[in-house]
Amino acid sequence: MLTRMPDPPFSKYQIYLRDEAEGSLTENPTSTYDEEKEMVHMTSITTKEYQADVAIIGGGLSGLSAAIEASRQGAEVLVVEKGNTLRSGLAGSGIDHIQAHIPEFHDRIGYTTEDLVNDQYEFGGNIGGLRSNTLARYFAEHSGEDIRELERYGIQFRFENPCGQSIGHLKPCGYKIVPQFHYVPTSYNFAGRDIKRVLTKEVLKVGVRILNRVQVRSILVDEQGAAAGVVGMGTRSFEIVTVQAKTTILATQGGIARISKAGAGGTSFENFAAPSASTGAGKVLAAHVGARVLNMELTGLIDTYALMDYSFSVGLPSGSWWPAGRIVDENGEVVVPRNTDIPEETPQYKQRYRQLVEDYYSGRGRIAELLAQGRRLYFDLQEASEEELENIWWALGHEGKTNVLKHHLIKQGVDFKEARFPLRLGGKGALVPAGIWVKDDTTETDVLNLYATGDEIAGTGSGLPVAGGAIVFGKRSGEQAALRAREIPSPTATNTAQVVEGLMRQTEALLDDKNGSVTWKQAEESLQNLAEHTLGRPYTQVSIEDDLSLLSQATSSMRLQAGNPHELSRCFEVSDLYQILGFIYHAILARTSSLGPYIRADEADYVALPWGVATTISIKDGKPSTGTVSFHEASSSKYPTIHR
Amino acid sequence: MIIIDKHTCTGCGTCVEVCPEDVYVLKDGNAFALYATECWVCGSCMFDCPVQAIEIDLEPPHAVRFIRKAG
Repeated sequence: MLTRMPDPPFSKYQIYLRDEAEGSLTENPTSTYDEEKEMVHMTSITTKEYQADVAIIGGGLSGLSAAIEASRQGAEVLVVEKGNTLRSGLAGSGIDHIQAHIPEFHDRIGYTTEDLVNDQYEFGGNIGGLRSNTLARYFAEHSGEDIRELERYGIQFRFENPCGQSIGHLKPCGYKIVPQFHYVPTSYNFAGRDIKRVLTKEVLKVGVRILNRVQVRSILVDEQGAAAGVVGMGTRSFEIVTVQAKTTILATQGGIARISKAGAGGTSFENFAAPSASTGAGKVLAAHVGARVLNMELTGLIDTYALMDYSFSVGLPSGSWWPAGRIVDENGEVVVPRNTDIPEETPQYKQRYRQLVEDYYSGRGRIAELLAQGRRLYFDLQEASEEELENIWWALGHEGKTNVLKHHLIKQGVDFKEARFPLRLGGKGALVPAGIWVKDDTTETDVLNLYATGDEIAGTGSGLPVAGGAIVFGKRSGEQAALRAREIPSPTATNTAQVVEGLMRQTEALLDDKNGSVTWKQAEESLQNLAEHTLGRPYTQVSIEDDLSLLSQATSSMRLQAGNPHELSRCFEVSDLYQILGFIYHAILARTSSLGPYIRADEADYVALPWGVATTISIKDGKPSTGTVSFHEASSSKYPTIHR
Repeated sequence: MIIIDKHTCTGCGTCVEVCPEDVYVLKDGNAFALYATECWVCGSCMFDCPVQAIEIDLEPPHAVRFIRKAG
């Protein structure tokens, strides 16, 4: 059904629209529905044009941070968002911690910005992050100031009962600081459930315009191939929106959870994979204008998180949500003790934490072994103090779906002092974000006047703390894009007519069911079947080439069909996912060595691509073109690597 | 699972506005989850509903299973 009818027709395209509400809503029809109740009625594609200095694709944490900073630099900014910035993106229903280096605290325990850089390298990098020390250093040096900025917006960072965790060195601090990585307290908890609402308010306050419910479908370019704005389609109206802009910032989501059923199906209780955003749209947009997309094959590592149950997917038993969590067996014997039995700041403590990470996320550790033997293990909080339980309830109320988990637990009347949560081997999720190559911390991509930030910055979505990285590099990209916009004349996109025309034709085809029809849901399931059939299994050059041909066959034989703008938007998402799977296959071929769960059976025939080198893919002359690129620089890390 | 209390709902459209998955429409002056199967259980509608007319709860396999008393 149409929630809003488009304006009077501007285009030559007249569209016969099937009212999808027909049938299911025959009882008590409303005025809204009555008007559109006929089986078929006619509507039209309309167009609308905007101009801006800086166009931002995606209004998540990074997009909104970029908008505020660009506006501060005097730029006229327009944010184009598929959902509504109030609740869209990774942080839509909240994010409650940000990693940062705050000298006034960290100097006391001798944890330097360089230590943070090393931690990013070791822990972030080992799940596929770019390991760019240039970016990590920029993050380490700017994150503290960015926390203070969020505080100025009214987000609560300081609490009466400070430092609820056992981190005596830092009391009294007023901040809730929880350990990350080497169990060094570097992650600042805050009451961030409504962070997107707060940022939206700040964005509007500085005069930024937001176009909600517009799905960007193309990046415009000028004669030189430089980015010159975007073209998008309304998700609730057939309105094509053109934004001519001097500079463009790509701030879309990094994760592509919808490539697998497990990822899309909500196995994980995190919030990093809101499905409408988890389609790789930003990578498709970027690749088509010639920007290099990095490490797409890592995105296909769909079984990275092997142990998924709530106890785990909301954090490690000794991690930020469950600081007092432990694991016991059927007889109540402790398998993994709670976190206070070994003194913090000791090598044993750090080692054990690393072991926990290994066990939980690789699926190959001790926990996985015991479970595989048929043992019953439980996660519990029975050794938690009252203060810790208070903190746990607090922590459950501010980030993503843990808010819903909290509601659920309260409704069931859980008592953490008594309850035991059975652990089991769980599902898979496509959680490793790839990203767009950037020159350095200026966030400039291969394409002139196109910047990438947030998850999309150089594959560091996992390598840098997600929310913190989004904010820090969001601001940086906004500043850089605005400074560039000052120096250059108004944009002269040379492909606007072509892109708009193309989008109209595509829309018309998707709305036409004369040749039979496949719903976006059918098409998505078909794609997920294909992805799960091939990804994560031993492969060879030949087998991936076969997969590519299967994909090509599936793509060309599909007759996707939409009945309204909502479905049209979903069709576009699915069509992006098909392209993304192709990117993944091409990148696997470029990665000439085994990697994680991917075993290249014909490895001996190839020169291995070292860890630390990224694969790249972009579209050249309409065809995927792959290559490799070295990461910036290696770290002289003091810690051993646990994953490869 | 989306549970809407039709008697409490005022039809203000907040859920329609905020839902990142575009699940809601207004029908009969009430919120209606037209695309309920696309819900990702983020809870945004539940938090933002000004009259608490919406409840999002977990269903299996997402519902949390636990044993109440340690044995």
